[in-house]
Amino acid sequence: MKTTSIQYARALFESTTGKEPHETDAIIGRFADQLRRDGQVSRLASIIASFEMLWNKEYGIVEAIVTSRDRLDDATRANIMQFVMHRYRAKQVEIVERVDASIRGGVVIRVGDEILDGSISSQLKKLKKNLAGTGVTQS
Amino acid sequence: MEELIKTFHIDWKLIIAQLVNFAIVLFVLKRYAYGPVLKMMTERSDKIEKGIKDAEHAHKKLAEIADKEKEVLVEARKQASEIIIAAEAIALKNKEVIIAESKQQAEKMLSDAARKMEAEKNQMMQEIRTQIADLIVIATEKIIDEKMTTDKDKVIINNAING
Repeated sequence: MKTTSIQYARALFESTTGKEPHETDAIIGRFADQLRRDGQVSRLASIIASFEMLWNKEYGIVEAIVTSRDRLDDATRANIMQFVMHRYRAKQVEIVERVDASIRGGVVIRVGDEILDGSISSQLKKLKKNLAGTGVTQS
Repeated sequence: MEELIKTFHIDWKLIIAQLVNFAIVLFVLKRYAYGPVLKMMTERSDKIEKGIKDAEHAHKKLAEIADKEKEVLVEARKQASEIIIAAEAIALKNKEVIIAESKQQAEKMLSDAARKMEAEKNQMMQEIRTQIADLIVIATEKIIDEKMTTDKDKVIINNAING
């Protein structure tokens, strides 16, 4: 049966958990050799992503991709961090900031597959949809 | 007797000669005149009789034909009448069917036209709504772009994350 990326990642995670750094290095080396023998090196990026997911889940780390019109100031970044920590019951939040002027204001926070869209552009889209649908009364 | 013969000057020889003459004339007449004439008369009589019979027969036939003709005419009139009645019935039925079909077709055409008009009207209204929405959103975007400041943006972000 073919081994999936998540199975590789889980095997690596379980074999490195609680190990000393030098032991971890040796384990990673053997893991890399195994991947080469299995001909699965091309799936390395997917395996690493799955490993990060398992690691973050195990240690309560949440990665949030935050998109805003301008760079965030410290106070706003802290507020967003608190919000994500509270919402996802995370012990630690890692924020990846992205600046995109096309959102025109507000913020878009992406955690995993979930997107919290508080941008002006999305509100304008909703407004447009409402106006085009039932916003204008029919004579 | 002798006295009588003397009175009338009867000459037996003459009488016999006359008798012979008469017999010869009779024979000649019978042989060459009376026979052919009688035959001719008989033939003529037969012909006339046959002609009369034929005429009677023809008359009878004519009467029969006339009767037959009358019968045929009556039958033909009867059949023609039946055909006309049947044709009128069929025509009436066809007329009703044609009228019903025409009515149905007309109703369908009207219904289709009304539906099409309604669909076109709805499409037009939708296009107008979309155009108005586009204009409103474009105007709003311009106003937002002009009026948006960092402070206002922070307020919007905080409002978004604080519900």
